Amino acid sequence: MTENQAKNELEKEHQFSCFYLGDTLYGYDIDLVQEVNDQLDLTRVPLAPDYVLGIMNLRGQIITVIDQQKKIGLKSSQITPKSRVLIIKSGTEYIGLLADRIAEVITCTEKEIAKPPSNVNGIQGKLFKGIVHTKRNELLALLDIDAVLDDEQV
Amino acid sequence: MKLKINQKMGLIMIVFFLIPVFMFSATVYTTQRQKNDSLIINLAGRQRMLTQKMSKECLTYMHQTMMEDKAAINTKKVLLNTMAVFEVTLTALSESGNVPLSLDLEGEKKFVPATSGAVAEQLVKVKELWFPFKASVNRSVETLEEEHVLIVLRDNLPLLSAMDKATGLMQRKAEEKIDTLFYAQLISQVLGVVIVVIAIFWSRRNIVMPIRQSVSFAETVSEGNLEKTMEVKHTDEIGMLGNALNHTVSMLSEMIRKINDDVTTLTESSGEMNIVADEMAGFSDTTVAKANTVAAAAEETDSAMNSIAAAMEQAYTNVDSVASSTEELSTSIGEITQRTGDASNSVKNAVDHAQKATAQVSELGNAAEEIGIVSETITAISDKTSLLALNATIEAARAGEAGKGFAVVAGEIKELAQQTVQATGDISAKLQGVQQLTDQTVAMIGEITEVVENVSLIIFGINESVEQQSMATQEITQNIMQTSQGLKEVTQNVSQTKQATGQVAQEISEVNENAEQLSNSSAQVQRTAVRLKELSEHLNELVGNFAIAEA
Repeated sequence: MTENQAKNELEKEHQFSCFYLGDTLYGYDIDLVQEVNDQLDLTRVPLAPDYVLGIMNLRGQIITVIDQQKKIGLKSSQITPKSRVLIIKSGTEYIGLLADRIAEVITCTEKEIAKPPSNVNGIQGKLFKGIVHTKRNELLALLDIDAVLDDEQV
Repeated sequence: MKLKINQKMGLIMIVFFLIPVFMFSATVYTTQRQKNDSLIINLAGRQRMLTQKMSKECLTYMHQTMMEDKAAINTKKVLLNTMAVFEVTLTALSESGNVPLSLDLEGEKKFVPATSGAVAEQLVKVKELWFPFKASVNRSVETLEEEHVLIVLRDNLPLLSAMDKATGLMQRKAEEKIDTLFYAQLISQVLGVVIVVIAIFWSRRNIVMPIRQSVSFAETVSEGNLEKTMEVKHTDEIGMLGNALNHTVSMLSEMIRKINDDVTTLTESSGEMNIVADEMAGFSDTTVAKANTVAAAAEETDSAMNSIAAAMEQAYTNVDSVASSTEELSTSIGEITQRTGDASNSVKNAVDHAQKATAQVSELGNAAEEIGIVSETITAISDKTSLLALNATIEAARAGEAGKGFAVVAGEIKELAQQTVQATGDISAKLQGVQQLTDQTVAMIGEITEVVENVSLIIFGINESVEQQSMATQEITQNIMQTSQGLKEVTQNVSQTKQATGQVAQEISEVNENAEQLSNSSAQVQRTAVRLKELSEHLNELVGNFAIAEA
């Protein structure tokens, strides 16, 4: 890898679709996100794990909606008028992740992404890809979708 | 023990008297028993002497016979007499009998009682010694043999000692009797002391204590305390005295209670009398004062009548001017009525306007609320738009480089949506202000309506008053006419009154005299009442010295 290539690598732009869980800002790579939705008409699934909120019908497609805050080991999210569902493609199926409040799409370069610390707000570091210090002086935690959904597949 | 006091005292005396009687009896008894003791002891002592006399005379005889003295015959006679006296005495002492007091057998004799006990036994021993001794003496005198004389010499001392022993025993017996007497006396002394102690306690309990109790009760009574009664235990004269005291105290208590009641009544009555006298005095004083006032008033009335007559003239002219004034008043009242009617109409208009204003302001409030609903809808639409813009951004990102231009448009839309949200927020805040203001306006209009209604009420009141005044003015006009007529009658009455006041003055002077007499009488009554009160207080004080039991 030449020096020029490395520099281009550092200048490479990423976009993250961001949201709040509680007061903390989290984000997924925008390529993972199919859409954001305010449809919260969920059907409960009997005998499902407690972090599964239910299933929803999105234009003929059945999607499982999970409480990602509970899934990453924090308290349960409350459904409010500001709650939104991020539709994520995981492998071949779509999964809905509940967010307390949606934020904007944030664009940053590779060099602005810092390595994750071992622990963010009591959440294990392996769930994060990195940390970005945004222009609004907030910390954006970049979540690793596979790590977040990992336990579900076990 | 139900005994009278004299019986009790007699009993004590008798017990005391029995002690010396017993002592005297013991002494007499002992002295009677001792009476013969001295004689017997004397005789016993003489017997001792006689043993030696016999021995001496025996030897004297022997000697005189040997010397052939003629006195020997006489000596023998004396010896035989002595022996006879000894034997008679010895026999009398042991078995009783008469004994010559001198050595002459034919002389004066005295009876001696028989001895007993140890003395008698000793006398038997003496007798046993005596008879051999007597034989020896007789044989010595008859035969003059030395052998018998020696026996006499040998046996006279044992005889003497035996007799001496008997004498000693007699003496001891006599002394024993003295001892008996001493013990009898001692016992009676002890008995006497015991009886004295018992008598003291008994008499103290049965005589002295009840008397003292009576005395203390009598002292309590003498101090005026009639509350207590005495407990009577005995039936003798002291008991009777106690009962009599109790009866006296209860009678006295009852009497004093009655006196006390009477005194209280008397005190109250005198107090009341005093009050009545006071009142009477006050009344008579008032009467005098009033009579004086009336007299003065009568005089004043007289002079007043004169001025009344003058005033009547003046009144006539005044009544005329009043009549013209009332007409003017009537016209002005009519004007007031008209004006108040106008004011009433204006107030009604004001109330109507205020009600309309309230309705309009309420509508304004409703419109503001509707605008609020619309702005909420706008907010919802903006939220949706924002979400759409976000999804558009996501789609643009997926399109890669080709979607970059679209991403910018999406960003703009999002920005627009956010500004819309902010603007609707501002509208909402302002609408809230409008709503508050409309509420306040409605309240204020309500207050204004209230005030206007009050004004309406006041105007109504004025209207009513004016009507009343109108009626009153008419009455005044009528009254003035009547007054005019009345004034004429008054003038007539004044002259009649003048005559009457003269009579009143005369009668008042009589009343004054009577009132003064009443005043004097009541003063006398008062003095009497005061004296009566003093008397009853004194009596109360005297009775108060007695404490009496509650009835």
